[in-house]
Formats: sequence, structure tokens, C-alpha cells
Amino acid sequence: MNRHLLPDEFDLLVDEEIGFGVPELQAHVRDCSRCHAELESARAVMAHIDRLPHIAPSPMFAEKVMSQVNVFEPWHVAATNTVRALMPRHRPVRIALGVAALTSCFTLTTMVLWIASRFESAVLLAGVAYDGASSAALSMLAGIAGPRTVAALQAGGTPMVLTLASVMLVVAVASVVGLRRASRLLAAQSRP
Amino acid sequence: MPLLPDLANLPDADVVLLAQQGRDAAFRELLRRYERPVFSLVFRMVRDRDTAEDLAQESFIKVLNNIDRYRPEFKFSSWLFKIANNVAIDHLRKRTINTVSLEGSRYATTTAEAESTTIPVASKDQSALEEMESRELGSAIEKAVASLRPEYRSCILLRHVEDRSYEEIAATLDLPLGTVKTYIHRARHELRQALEDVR
Repeated sequence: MNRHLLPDEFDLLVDEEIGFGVPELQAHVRDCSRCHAELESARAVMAHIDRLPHIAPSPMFAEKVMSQVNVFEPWHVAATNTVRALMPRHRPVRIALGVAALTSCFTLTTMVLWIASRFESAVLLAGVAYDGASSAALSMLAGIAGPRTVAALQAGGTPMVLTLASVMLVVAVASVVGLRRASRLLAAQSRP
Repeated sequence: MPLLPDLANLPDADVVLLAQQGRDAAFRELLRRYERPVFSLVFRMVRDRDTAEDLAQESFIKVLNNIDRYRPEFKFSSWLFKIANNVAIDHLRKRTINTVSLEGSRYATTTAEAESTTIPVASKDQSALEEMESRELGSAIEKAVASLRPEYRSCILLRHVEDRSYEEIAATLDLPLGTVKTYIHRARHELRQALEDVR
């Protein structure tokens, strides 16, 4: 090489790059006192910059940040954690529980298949269950709201029941949304 | 809740995954790992401790509250530095707009007019800054770094203090690789000139 190094070539050497052309630059620096001095000076400055320390923020920095971070546990993680928390710690107990769960599943599946294979019996059983459930619900409603409400409901038929169910659903959703909003507002107010 | 693994030994990607699952300890671990690097970067950009603290906090809050949007193909630290750098640059831009020249009005036509519009530098601020420089940062190198243009400063700090590759810096600052190389080259040149008397 019959010239001095270009600025970009100094950068290659300062960054300690290896690759095509670099050995030639290194050889030149060994022979050329001017480029050698310039490279050493660049390296010395960069060594100072490399040694700049990290600076610590105030001791309460992390707490201040965390007070404004919403740590949110997704529903699937919450569900998994709940299941894990319910699981027994000892392996033999876990195995026994697993066997019991499998047996229950097997029994239930067999029952369902048996009922399904006898369709007429299944319909009859479903009808009996429906009648039992509806009479239980009606007697419960009569206990809460009185027999006149039950009579009005029975007179109104399915549309009346559906309307009532919709109103209850709307009230429930509005209550949940309202409570969530109120808790968020309270949390925001309690932040420093 | 099941026991957490030893967070200090986990790579960033795993800690972020735990944070995405709502683990408070994972958020704190990310803070522990990066509070100093992020604060240092922001402090060296804005040169004021209180402002740097506010901006570093803002950066962490943005990142941690949006942890579910983190894309694993990007390094977490690069994402964090990107937000912190953007926050610092935005602050510097706003400050430039709000800054009034201390040297007197640029519309002054005579020396007397210029002098009458000159704002005296508050000695308290000046001495506080000087004291901080001498005590905490306090060297010609810090001053030389501070004198660089903000975009050169981010590049040189990421390269030399945070030990990032050129490619990582380009991804962090959303700049072409060639621009990053140019900025670093110019920054080094300016630093060498600024430190010539000191060495």
C-alpha cells in the first residue's frame, strides 16, 4: 500500500474488524509511523469512551416505575396457575388423583354412549330432567318473587322468559363493567 | 402460584415471556437489568438528572405496559433502547423549540441591543451542572460526548458504552447501516479533536 489510511480504514482497525483487506491495512500501520500514531490516538480515545461507567438512577426509581406498570395476568395463565395450585404436591397423590379422574371420565363417557345408543330412553330422561329443573326453578322464583310473578311469566310464555333473561344479562354485564371502571379509577387515584 | 425459576440466570427473552404471563418479579428483573444502562443513555443525552429520571421512567413505563406487543425476533434491549432514545430525542427537540438564546436576541442590530436582550446564565444551574460533571461524570470525556450532536451521541454511546454492533444500532435507531457508520466515524473524529488537548 503506497498511501496513508483513509478514515473508514482507521474505523475498521479501531473496531478490530477482521476480513478481506484488513491484514493489508495492519501491515501498512506497522510500517507507517504517521498512520500508526493516528491509529493509537484513535484507540486511546475510544478506550476512554469504552470505560464510561453506567450511572445509577435514584434508589426509588424501580418502585416509581412499578407503581405505574399494569401487571396483567392473562386468563389462560390464571387458569393454568389455578389448576397447578390445586394439584397435590406429592407424586403418589397426583397419580391417584389422575387415575380417579380418568376413571370418572371413562364412566361418564360410557354412560353418555349408553344413553345415546338408546335414543328413546335418552329423550325420556331429558324430558324428566327438564320437567324437574323447570318446576324447581319455578318454585324457587315463586319463593323469591311471589306466585303472581310466576303466573305472569307462565302467561307470557317464551317471549316473556327471554325478555327477562336479557334484562338480567344486561344488568349483570353493566355491573361488571361498572365495578371494573370504579376499581381502575380508585387505583389511578391511589397512585402517587 | 408455582415457584419462579432463578430469574437472574434467564436470558432476556425468557424473562420477557414470564412478564407477559403477568409475573411481577419478571418485570422487576427487567428493570434491575436495564435501569442503569437506560438511565445512563438518557442522562448523557439530556444532561440533567431530574429530566433523565423522568424520561427513563417514561421509557420503562411505555415498554413494560406494552410488553405483550414485544416481538421476539427483536432483541428486548434494542427495543428498550429504541424507546428510550426516542423519548430523549423528543425531549431535546421540544427543548430546542422552547429554548431562548442566552446570547441575546438574534434580531439585535447593535451591541447594546444584544447585551440588553442577553439572559444571564443562572449561576445555580451552572454550578450544579459543573459540580455533577466533576463529581459523577465529571471529565473531559463526558463533556466531549455531551458536545456531540444528539444523533452522533446515541450512536457512539450504544457502540462504546453498550457494546452494540453496527447492525443492532441501525435497528435500534431506525437508521440505515451506512448512516450509522458515518455517524460513528464523525463522532469519533469530533471526540478526538475535542480531547486532543486533554491527552
